[in-house]
Amino acid sequence: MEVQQAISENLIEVFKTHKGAVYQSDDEQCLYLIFGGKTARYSFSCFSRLKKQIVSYNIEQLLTRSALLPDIEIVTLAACEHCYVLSITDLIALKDILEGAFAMFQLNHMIKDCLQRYIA
Amino acid sequence: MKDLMRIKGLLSTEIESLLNQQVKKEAHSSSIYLSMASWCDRNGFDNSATYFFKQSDEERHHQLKLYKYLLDMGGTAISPEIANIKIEYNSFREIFEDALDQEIAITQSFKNIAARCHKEQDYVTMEFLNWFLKEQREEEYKARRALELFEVIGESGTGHWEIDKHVGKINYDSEAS
Repeated sequence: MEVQQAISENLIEVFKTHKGAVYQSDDEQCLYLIFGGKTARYSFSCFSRLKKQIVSYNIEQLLTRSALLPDIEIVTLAACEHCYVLSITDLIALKDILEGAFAMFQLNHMIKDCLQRYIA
Repeated sequence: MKDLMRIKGLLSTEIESLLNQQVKKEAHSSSIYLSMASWCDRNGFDNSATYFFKQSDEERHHQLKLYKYLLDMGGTAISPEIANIKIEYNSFREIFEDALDQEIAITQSFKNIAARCHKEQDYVTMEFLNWFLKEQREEEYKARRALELFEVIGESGTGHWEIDKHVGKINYDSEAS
């Protein structure tokens, strides 16, 4: 957890696999993605765009395409300083992390919604 | 943990996507009506051309209303790409048949979004959609009335001239409006 400590003391783990993790900072209202030996800070909207882009890759198509094409994908986002150069296995791993993180966001949203409406 | 999804905006991904699809459908409708106005003008149906120009403006207004709602709610409004707009029609009547089909498709699409809003308990978007649902009553009524003119007046002799004259007078002023 040394990366987490290096960034801030108040990070909340959103989702984690053996390949990487997503943390949320409530103070900064942002997210940290730890993946491929790199820690990247994202606003929520930028993180959503990253997820949308990663999920849009057709893994089956990538696996069956011509051997002449490079076996890597370069992922860049407009107005975002981070860039990833991913192999197909990296892509699958990142997709898992992002989908897991968004499932947790959704769950958190549903719990908060219920608490605010029925208890507050 | 703070709910960053909620802080960012009010819309769920599904509703945002449905509203963006609706923006595209309204833009498509606006282009279709513009094409119909062009055909009517080319073929001497001036009143119908004016009617369709007005319809096209209304659809554009609907598109912008949805577009601005998406932005107001923290969503991403996507400017749509519109292609494959029909240029030629086989008859004057076909134009009005297509117009009614178009309005029915739009109403069905709004019903689909409303169903999703109920499922998600998104009452804010539902309240916004009510305006469109009421508007669709008027749009379908006008399209149906225009098509009925072909039965009431008939197409023989000066029928088309008479129909064109009456199209501009179609108005929805029912007590139910």
